[in-house]
Amino acid sequence: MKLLILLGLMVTSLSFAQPLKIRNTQGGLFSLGVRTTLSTFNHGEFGNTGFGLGGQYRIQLANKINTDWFFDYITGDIGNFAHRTDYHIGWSVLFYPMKNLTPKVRPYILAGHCFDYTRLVDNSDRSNFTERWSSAIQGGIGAHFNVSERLDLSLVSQYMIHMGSDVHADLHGGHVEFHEEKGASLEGHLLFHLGINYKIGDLWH
Amino acid sequence: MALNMKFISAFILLIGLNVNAQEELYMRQGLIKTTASIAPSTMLNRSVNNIYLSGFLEYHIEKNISFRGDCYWFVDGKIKNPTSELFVRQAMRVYFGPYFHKNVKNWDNYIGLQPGIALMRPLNEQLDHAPLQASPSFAVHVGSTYFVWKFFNFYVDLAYVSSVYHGFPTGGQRTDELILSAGLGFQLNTKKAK
Repeated sequence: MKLLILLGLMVTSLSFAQPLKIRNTQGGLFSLGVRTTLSTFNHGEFGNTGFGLGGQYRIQLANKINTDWFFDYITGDIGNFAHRTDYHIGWSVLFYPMKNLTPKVRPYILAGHCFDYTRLVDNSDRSNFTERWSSAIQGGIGAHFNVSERLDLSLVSQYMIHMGSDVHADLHGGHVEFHEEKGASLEGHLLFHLGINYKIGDLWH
Repeated sequence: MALNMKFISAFILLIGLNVNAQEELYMRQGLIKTTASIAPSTMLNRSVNNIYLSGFLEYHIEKNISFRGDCYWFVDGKIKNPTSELFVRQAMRVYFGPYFHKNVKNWDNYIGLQPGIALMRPLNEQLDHAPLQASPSFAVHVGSTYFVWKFFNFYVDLAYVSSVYHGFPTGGQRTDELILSAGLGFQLNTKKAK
């Protein structure tokens, strides 16, 4: 394990030292990044906004096609009586419509799949909770802001629709009750991400 | 008299050239910086000051762009006035992200944007048997560094950190802070100047 970490550090530091070499196309570019997430319209209300931390790696398949593999950890309040935690793991395909392959700002359209785990907990009684596993689809728009040849900031807005039972919390007579309703719900989240990505190198070089 | 003036001018120019030749610039790709310090903070949503042990490790991928990891370990807190209450029992904050630099010779100014995580447990007086909670967080840094020698620098750094502790009967508790750290830093150039 230590050897793997050491090897990873060495490879990473070597990649820092050299200019980015790519073969004929941008296909094969591998990048690593971290991102923050704002999750809005949870339970259909803008006030219950969640905030999250996540990471992703990207493998570009062609000049105009990239793939983004991500994990997010998001927490947020439900009114002042409960709170929720969401874990998202999934992938998206990014399509770059512009002809210019190395612009300062590179907009894109994305769509993909996600698996998620949600846990809702009563603030006044932590043993009172509900949880849900589900899958989701997401779509949205974004843009890379290329700070350097290897580094970009990415701003993304996407809507995620969960396909599974809908869980939500209500306050009835001063007691928190969790409800689970079967069937797909269009009440997903509107997510905003600000990410930082570093191109490690061309896997196909 | 004219000869003396020429001699003095030439002497001043020579001294100037000599000083310029001796001034080594330390900001370049491959620079590694680190430090450990005591960092006071003020909580922005309650009248409490905290003390952290802080440290960071930074690597310049380019002269003006670096990646930096910061860590803050909570030591203790103090109330600002008798009506306020302490909040934190245990806390650690960890952040990682890019920094953008603008430097004049060996004086460097920067901003940094870092996602991160806040591990926090409030005092029992605030919430009985409160669990240690990992909350997503982010930090925004501004700061300045002056490189005094090839291994040492003096720096000052101000960080705004944002986080929420969820699960209080009254709802989530914001735990935003302004954290100041300053002092002696260490650096090592892993690449020779071109």
